[in-house]
Amino acid sequence: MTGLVTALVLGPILVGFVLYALPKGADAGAKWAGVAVAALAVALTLGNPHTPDDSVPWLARPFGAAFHFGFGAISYWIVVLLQVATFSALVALRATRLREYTAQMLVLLGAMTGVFLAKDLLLFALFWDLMLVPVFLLMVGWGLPGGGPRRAGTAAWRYLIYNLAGGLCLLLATAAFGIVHGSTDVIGNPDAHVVIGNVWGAWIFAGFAFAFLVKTPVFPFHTWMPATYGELPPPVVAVVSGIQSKAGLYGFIVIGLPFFAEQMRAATPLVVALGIISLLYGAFTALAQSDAKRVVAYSSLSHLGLILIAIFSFDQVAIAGAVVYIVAHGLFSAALFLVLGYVEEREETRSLQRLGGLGYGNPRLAGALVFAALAALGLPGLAGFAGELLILTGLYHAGFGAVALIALVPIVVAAAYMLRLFQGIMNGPKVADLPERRDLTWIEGLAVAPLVLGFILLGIDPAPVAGLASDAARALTGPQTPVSHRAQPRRSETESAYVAADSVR
Amino acid sequence: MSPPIPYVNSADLHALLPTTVIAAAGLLALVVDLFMSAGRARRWIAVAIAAAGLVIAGVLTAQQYGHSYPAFGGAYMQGGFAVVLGEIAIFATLVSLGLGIGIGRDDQVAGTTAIVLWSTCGALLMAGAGNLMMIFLGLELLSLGLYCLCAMSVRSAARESGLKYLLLSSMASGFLLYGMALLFGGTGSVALAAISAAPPSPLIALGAGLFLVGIAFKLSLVPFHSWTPDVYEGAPLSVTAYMSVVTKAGALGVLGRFAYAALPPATANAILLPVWTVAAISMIVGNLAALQQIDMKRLLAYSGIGQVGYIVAAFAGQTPLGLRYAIFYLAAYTFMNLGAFAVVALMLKDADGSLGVGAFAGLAYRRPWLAAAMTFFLLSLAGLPPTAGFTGKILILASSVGAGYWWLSVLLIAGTAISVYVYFKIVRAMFVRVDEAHVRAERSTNPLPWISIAVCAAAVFVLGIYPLAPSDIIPLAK
Amino acid sequence: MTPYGPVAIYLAVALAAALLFTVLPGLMAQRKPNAVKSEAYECGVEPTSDVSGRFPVRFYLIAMLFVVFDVEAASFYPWAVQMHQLRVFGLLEMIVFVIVLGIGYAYVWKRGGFQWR
Repeated sequence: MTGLVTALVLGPILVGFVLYALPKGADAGAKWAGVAVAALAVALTLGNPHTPDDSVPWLARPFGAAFHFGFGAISYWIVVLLQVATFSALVALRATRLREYTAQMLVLLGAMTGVFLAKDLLLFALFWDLMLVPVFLLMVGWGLPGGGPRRAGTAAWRYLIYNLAGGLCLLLATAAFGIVHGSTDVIGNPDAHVVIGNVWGAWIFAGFAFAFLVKTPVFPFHTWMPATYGELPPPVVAVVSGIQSKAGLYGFIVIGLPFFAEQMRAATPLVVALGIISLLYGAFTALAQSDAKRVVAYSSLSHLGLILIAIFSFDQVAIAGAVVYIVAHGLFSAALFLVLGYVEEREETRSLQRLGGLGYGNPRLAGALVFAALAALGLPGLAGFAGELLILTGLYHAGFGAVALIALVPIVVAAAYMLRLFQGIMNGPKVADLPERRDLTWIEGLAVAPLVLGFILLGIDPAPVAGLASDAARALTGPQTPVSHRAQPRRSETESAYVAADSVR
Repeated sequence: MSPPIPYVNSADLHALLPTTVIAAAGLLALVVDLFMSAGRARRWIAVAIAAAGLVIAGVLTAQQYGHSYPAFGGAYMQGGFAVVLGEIAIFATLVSLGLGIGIGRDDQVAGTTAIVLWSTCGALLMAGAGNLMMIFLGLELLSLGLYCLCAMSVRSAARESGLKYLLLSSMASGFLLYGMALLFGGTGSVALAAISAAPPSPLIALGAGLFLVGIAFKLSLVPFHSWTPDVYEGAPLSVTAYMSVVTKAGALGVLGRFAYAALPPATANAILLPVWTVAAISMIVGNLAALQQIDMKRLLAYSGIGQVGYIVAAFAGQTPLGLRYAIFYLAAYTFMNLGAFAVVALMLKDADGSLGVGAFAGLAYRRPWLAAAMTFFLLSLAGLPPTAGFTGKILILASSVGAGYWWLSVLLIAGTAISVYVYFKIVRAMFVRVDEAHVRAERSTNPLPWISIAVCAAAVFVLGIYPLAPSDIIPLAK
Repeated sequence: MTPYGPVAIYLAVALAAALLFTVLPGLMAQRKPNAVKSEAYECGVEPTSDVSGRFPVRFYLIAMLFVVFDVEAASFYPWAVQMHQLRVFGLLEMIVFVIVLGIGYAYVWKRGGFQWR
């Protein structure tokens, strides 16, 4: 179905603007229209996995560029995840001025779909910058500032300035890439034959890498993240933490690996070191937080550090695991943030010291939280485990054995902070002055259900995601003998990766 | 009896036809006004005459597209990129006049309208000027009108504005004239083409330096920018909007032709290096200073300083495409900047007033369409997609990186990062929830800015999505 | 000698002459000041403020109008000298010029620019 991919990108944006133009009273209708758009997007994406690319010429001078959208082996499941998470977020929406809220969420959906489906670097950069705007506006208009209304938007500033600094470097790098290569229509194109000279390559890669590291975020570029995740309204943070933060990792996979392999290998020691710091720092900081949202925020820092290391190991299995974990993390962190949002809505606090004993009166709420928390700590059978296992296996085989060992520490710590989170909210003695509220309503349940279903299914059988990613990873990490997907890697397949690993040892 | 002076060719006159039409429209507005009785109708009649003249001139200018003819022995280069600059100036004039339906009191409007039109004539002459005399003629025609227009208000700030502009602009003209004299002395010709043919000499380098100082004043590049915020703040809104675009269109034409046609290729890079440096400083300093501003006109003045820096950066290395992208960005700037001015005009009861940034608080919930338009224009000014500012910046970056001016593109990115804070301050104010009682909310009764907003927004969007065709029609430098 | 040599000499001579005639009288004149000679007026009240104070803006208006019309009228001279060589084009040019001038004149007149109000 030609035009479908473009419609997935532009459709939500257009509907968003239509909603904005609706009369003021149309709040509830706007919300369910948004839900319908997201559901339709999920259905269309799942129903047409083999849709051909759409490409319209864009620039010819000073370099070639095209409006080129298409599903990729890496991006397909991330986009499904994005659409599902947006669906959940929209179902869970409950706020004033719902019409504008829904409109912004749809623009965000379209812009982020654009990032993942763009097959042209310039288009990628365009949507990369565009996706910051709705998040900023949502944070300003509906944010939950820690320091009262007067401090509204300080986190929004931090988010915007950090990410835009990255975005602008990305833009400059893209322009330079276009000038050197002559075209930016290269993402996922095996015939692109990109050769970037060493002098240029280092600088151009530095531009991309900065943007990706800030977005992920990785220590020491993470300082925007806790405040942003804390202030964003829960449905938005579900999408931002679940998917937007994956854009940087996705960039490393589809732009870094094929075009800047040499530079990435050179940067491996540094990036792996940053990844390890993020891994440990995130995990131990999460253990010490009293703000429930910040626990999850710092746990994200830890998890994403692991994914980053996996990508830089140049190992096919580790990269396939990274993609699985990207999807898995998207599902469970979105679920976690949504459920924490429900808790905050009910009890008007998210401090673990103030909360406690909610599980007695709210069994369904506790059930949702326990599922998400277990997925996050990597319980076998749920999605997190599949991704972690693949990554660790891959790391070990790629010669990153020491790193794999270190990575076990935060996985253990994850169990501690996730259980602490659950206990702090649901278990323990009932806190007397907490208001008694209704348990999870069916609409709230409907919002979390697809996410929970998603990480259960992915945990039972990660094959669809892993297989597609593994094939793509093989192409990205250089010519290797074909293997069946999901197979355990043999040494011969990852020989090229060992060369890179030498620099680490 | 001495031999007869060669006739001025009819093709020469044809080249000046758009300028002539605009000048005549100004005269007509004056004459008609003499027979009008007092009342608001006077404003509309004068502006309608001006608009008719501008539209006709716009059509005539468009017809000159592709006709490359050096009129008056090369004094006025018809066709070429002057066509695009001319259209920009004409469009900006039209929009500016619409912001407040003319400028000044009812009985002043005919006079001010005529002055605006004649100033536009000056900008058109500058854009096409092929020799030093024409450059100076155009520049003075443009500036003389603006001295009066800046002071055209009852507020004392307006008088300060007019006087400041008179003094500093005259000084700039002095620099320019001195430079021209040295260039003439060094080459023996006033024609720009002859300057590039002359052998290099210190006189030419010095002359070119002084000349460029004069032009930098007019473009308000740092450190020759100090007049801009005060003049912009004091002048009536329409005049500020007008100056922010039309003077730049004229001066950019001069700078472009000078950089590409007049400088000897051997020394051009050395002579122009200070210009790129000044452009780089402008991007940083202009945007940094804009951070502090709370008055919209001052804020837009400082942001304009930064934007001009971007435009001039496109020239870096004098690549053939550089001039095209500079003009493309100027077009983009014209639409986004005038769009923002039109929004400001709609938020003022009296087009002569001033607007603080605070007036934008909660605008998205009071007047959602206006806020949406303003957000769009500010996104473009900040260089975010999907707007003309984004594509314009991509093209400039590609041009300067391609020419090897890495440092310039890195500074451009730094300037942009700062400017985001400036523009998003307003965006944030519009979307933040406020107590409406604390906001001074005014409305304009004039519907014309809405037309400008619609046109500008459409243009910003189209240039932002599909810049190829529009940028390709801009003729390359000759 | 460059073509600018004579110009430089001319400038130098002009400067020297101007200096000479401003400086010499001061040096050569005899001064015998006394109290009566130093008074502003032989009779009348001593001035209390600077004379170069306020006078009506109308003076400036008239002066400006004079300059405008005077300069424009001065443009007739070169045209008159070259009238035959410029032929019909010159004549048409001058007619247009006069019309523009006339409109300006009419505008100023009608708007009361010549009235001493």
